[in-house]
Amino acid sequence: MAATSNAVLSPLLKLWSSIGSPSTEVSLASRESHPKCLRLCLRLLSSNLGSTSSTSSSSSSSSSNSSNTPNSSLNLTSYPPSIVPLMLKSEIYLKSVYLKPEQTASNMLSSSDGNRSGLTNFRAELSQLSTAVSALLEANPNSNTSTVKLISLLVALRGTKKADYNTISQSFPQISHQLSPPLKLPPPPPLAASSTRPQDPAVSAVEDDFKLSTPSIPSTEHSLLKSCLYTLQGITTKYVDFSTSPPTQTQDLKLLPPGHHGLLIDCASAGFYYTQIKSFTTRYTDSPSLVQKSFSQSVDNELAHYFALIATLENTLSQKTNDPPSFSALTVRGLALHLQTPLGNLQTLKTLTDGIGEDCIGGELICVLKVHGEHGDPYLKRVVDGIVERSAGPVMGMVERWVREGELGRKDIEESEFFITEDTSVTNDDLYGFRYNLNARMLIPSITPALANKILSVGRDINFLRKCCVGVSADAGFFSLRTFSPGVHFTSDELKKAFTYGNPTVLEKVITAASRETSQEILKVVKDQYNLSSHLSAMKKFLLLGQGDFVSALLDAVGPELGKRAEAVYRHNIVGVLDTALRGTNAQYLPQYVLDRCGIKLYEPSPGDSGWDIFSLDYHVESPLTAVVHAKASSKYRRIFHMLWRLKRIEWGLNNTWRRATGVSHSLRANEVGGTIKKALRKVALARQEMLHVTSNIQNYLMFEVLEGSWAAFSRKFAESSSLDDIIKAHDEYLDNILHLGLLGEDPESKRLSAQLALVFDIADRFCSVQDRVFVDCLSALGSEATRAEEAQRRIQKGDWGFDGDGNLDASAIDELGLKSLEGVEATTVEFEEGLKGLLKLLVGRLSNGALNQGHDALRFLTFRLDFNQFYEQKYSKKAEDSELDDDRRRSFGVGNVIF
Amino acid sequence: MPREILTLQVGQCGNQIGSEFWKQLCSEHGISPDGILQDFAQNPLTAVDDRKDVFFYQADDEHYIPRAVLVDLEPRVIDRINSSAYRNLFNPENCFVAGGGGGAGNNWASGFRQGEEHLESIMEIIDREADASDSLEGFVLTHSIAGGTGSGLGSFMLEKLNDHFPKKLIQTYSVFPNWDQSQSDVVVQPYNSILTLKRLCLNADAVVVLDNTALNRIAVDRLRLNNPTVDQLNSLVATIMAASTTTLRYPSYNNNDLIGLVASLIPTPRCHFLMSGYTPLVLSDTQVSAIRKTTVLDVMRRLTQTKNIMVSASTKQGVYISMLNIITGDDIDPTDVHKSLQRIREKRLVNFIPWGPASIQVALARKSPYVETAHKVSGFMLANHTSMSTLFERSLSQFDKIKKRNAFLDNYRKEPMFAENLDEFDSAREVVQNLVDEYKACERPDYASFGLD
Repeated sequence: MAATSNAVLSPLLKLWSSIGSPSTEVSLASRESHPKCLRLCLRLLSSNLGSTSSTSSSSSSSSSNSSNTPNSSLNLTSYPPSIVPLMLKSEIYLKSVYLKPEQTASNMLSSSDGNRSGLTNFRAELSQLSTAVSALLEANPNSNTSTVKLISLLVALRGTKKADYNTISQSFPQISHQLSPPLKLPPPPPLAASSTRPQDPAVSAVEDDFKLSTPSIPSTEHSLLKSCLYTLQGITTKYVDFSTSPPTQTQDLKLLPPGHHGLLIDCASAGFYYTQIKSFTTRYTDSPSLVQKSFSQSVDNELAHYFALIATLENTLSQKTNDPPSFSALTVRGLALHLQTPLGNLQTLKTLTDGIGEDCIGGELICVLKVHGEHGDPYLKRVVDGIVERSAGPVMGMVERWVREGELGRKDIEESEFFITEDTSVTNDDLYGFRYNLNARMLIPSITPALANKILSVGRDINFLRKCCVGVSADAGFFSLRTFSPGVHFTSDELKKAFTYGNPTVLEKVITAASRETSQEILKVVKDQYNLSSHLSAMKKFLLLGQGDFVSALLDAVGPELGKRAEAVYRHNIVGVLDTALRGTNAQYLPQYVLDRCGIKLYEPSPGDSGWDIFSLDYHVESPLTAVVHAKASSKYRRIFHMLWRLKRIEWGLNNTWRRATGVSHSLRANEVGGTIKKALRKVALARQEMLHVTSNIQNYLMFEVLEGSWAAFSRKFAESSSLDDIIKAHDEYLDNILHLGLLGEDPESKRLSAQLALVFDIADRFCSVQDRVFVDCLSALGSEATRAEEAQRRIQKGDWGFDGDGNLDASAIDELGLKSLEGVEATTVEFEEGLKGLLKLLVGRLSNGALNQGHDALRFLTFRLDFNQFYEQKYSKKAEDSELDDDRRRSFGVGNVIF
Repeated sequence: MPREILTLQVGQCGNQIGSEFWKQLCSEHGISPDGILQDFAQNPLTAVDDRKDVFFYQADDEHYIPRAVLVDLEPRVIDRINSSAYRNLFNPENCFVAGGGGGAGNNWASGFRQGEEHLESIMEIIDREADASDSLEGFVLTHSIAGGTGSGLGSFMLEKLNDHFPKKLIQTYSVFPNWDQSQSDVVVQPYNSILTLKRLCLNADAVVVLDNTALNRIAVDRLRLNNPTVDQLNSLVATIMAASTTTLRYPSYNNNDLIGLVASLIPTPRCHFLMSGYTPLVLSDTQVSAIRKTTVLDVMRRLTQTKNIMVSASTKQGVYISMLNIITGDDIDPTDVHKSLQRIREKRLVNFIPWGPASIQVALARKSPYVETAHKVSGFMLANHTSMSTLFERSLSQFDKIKKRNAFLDNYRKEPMFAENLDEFDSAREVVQNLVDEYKACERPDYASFGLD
């Protein structure tokens, strides 16, 4: 027996090892052959168990599921102790796969192996088992049937094909009774009821079928198989009626034995799935959505496999009808085996198609599909991934076309499915910033939002170059990719791979390179061809008043015109004046293309406006530079301009009155006039100085701390920028910084500040005209004084008294004139002082408010400069002492407070 | 509309410092001595955005010609200019030398009278120049107050300019004599000074005081020259003059015109005598300077020190009415200015008036790329300080000393102004005395009501 035993075993082992070799191995993970084998094994196992331990024969399998202690099903004493645990595990595993994958597997295996991916672990254990068997054989050459059983188990577990059973049975007639088919496998439990159906009937079916293991195919079975094949295609038979949805079982079906009944239920499920899926694909084959189309196409492909299977089955069935039953003939059992994989497939496809509505298109559709692919079952995952990859084909095509050519495809079809959309209402001026947008809904799973943004920028850049930059080759961009940039070189394979779904790393590499390429191209064009930097510096010179000599000249020239009522200001006059100012100053040395952009803007006047209120310098920026100086930036420039211009204008006005004042004082020396006029003039001088002090300090603060500082930071970033986006960002920051530091912020505090500032400016502005009146009064006083003197001279020459009684009247009239001027001056001065006090208080308040840290130093500096000699500090604290109630003011301006 | 400035150089001293000033401007603007723009100033790569047309105009042939009128009563200085390398620079029509050529003999009254005599010829030149400008901003007069021509003829011109061009600004660079009597060769300089000061006070809008005493001191102490020559002192003056016009010649945000420059410095019309300071001082022929390090803070601090100020009055006493610093250099960080100002206030290096807000105004200017300098940063200060009155007081006391004895009056009596009486001396003295009083009043908080009772 020992000799036979060995003779039997060694070829078996050889076979096992040949099957187990990598080239022919049928993966355990594959469900193609696996369940078949497993069931076979289980059968073997239980039969042997049944024969060796009769007590547990009928209950062994059934108890295992619920009790989770399958020990009772094995006669363990006949096995060496070393392999007992492995055997147990094998049994559990086999049962789990056979009985109900979704349920039982987790139940039974989770305790030992985690989940179904424990297959791999199990495989490792198999090799342990085989080693153990070898050891067993060596140790116990006399072992008998139990050894053979073990080996069969092994063979089964390794996943043996049907053909191999023949080989085995031929080689080992001794054991052929244990190995030979046909072994009637129980049908898998019908799917429809799978979740609720108890396991016992299935297992008992196993037992039932086992008893029926006669190798003949009854004619009823043939017709039954035929019916099955029809059912599989969704055709109504006497068992299943497909005219309803879902299909209904006929009376005939219910009369079938349980095994056949189950098979037909499976077939009916498959058929039902098939019809459902088919109707889906027919519905979507003509869908306008490319992604839907390609999705239904790939589903159709899967259905083709199913069809092929049915065809083969049909073939087998029709060929072998009259032949004696053989191992390869189609049987009810065999069909049940064959059906397992397709049924799973169909189920998956059904699930995939179920979730898809008419409006689920493009990237969204792919996302929905992708979710189904996130599944632990590698097989299922592969199927779904394959479908996802094929369905995403059109989107990847769009990506490629977008980054190569900047084309989005037809608006109604492609664009609606793409994650980049075009807003055609956006003009070329704003193309760069606003024309193209991401549609996050359509983003496909393999592309991250960051990558999508990069993709967006590449195509946008191409469009920008093509549409906004005249004279730039439309070829700019991607298709020079293969040759550009040292170190980055892409083969056509790589490019192909990049634009296939599921290679985000390659795509990212290519897109990054393309984006760098287009960015550099744009930078080159914008900087070299469109002189971005000279335009920006020109805007600083004009709109931010950096070209001081031009601004002075413009003020001089435009002042008289703008002093008129707004309605009386004519555009052509101002334009002429602007030209003169441009030509007469160093602005003339700026490039012509810069000068051409400089113009003026007159706003629609409101009642009571003067020319000053409606005037604005303008710098005309065209595409492609509008990408940087976009509408928002322009309006920021305008706001800054208005503030600076107003300040400049007040300074100019104050300087002019200073000029007139010196003129008046030259005249005064020649003719001394009354005290009140002198008083008024002194008052004017001191008030003017105070105002000049405020305006020039604010100006200095704005020019040096704010404008120059921001410009220096911007220039630095400009030089370092590697894309237009960088420049736009830096430029936006530059303007925002100026607004923030320039007391033009949007927060309520800044608004209060700028309102107060405007008030102070207003008063200063009004003061200029008050001064003018004083000077006129003064000069007329001088005039009448002179006439009086002349008159006196004349009288003296006539030998009369120099003055008569009227002379005194004249003098008092002049005095009264002076008094009136003085009142005007004093009123304005008081108003100004109040305004200034408010301003300083706000500034100090802002400084003590820690919330706005940014720019604090600069602001502190302004406050510090405004009261450099602590004049206000002393003045306010003295007043506070006098009134003894203004505590908080004293805190703000108090001595020892470092703020001032 | 370049807001042109017409320079009037009167008398020996005025012409000397004037010609030095033009030399300096030429080198800063890359203009060769014969008025042709040098290659590097034409090359777009090296040329800079400067404003030459404020002080120059272009003749029909590419020549740059200074907007300058050279006036003297004796030919010596102007002849010397006309035989120097710069002979082709000036417009020969703009040189006026009185026919007799006898000069004014250090007599203010003679200069004044000769001014009257030559009024027409001089005014013709000035009118021509003024008409040639688009928008003449004003006049700059260079002269000394102690001699005869610069003081007398200068005074006359100041009066006439006021009448003729009431809307134009008049700024003067007035050289004050060396107060150390042993170094003075003119005994009547107190008379001349007081008489000129009256016109400077009444007819000029801004006077930059260049005090010979201080210039000498600076040359000796700061430049280590034992016996500074007149040329060296003049080049010192030229440096100051050029520096004070930097913002006019290199446009930037602020102070691009003369008014903008002086308006904030001179709150009340009469107190318009400005002191200047400069650091670091280097003369072209003695390139060694004691100062090695120049940062904005260093420069601004040094500008507050009396030893760097071109006036022999201490800024330790009295108060600043106003102060402007022009910091010149490439790539000056504005935050440095900020920090410097804070330091200066913390250390209380400057005292300001108590009757109004005042602060150190700072203008940043570019440096001429054509002139090599050893220092990265240089600073110029223009300030209105009450201690200026000590100069006038000194003049007054010296005036009183000789006037009490009625000494050296013969030559004055020969001139028409003093033929009948010497009232003009008293009138001038009164004006100067009022000026001193006003400056003194500026140190008090109640300045607002000074002289208005």
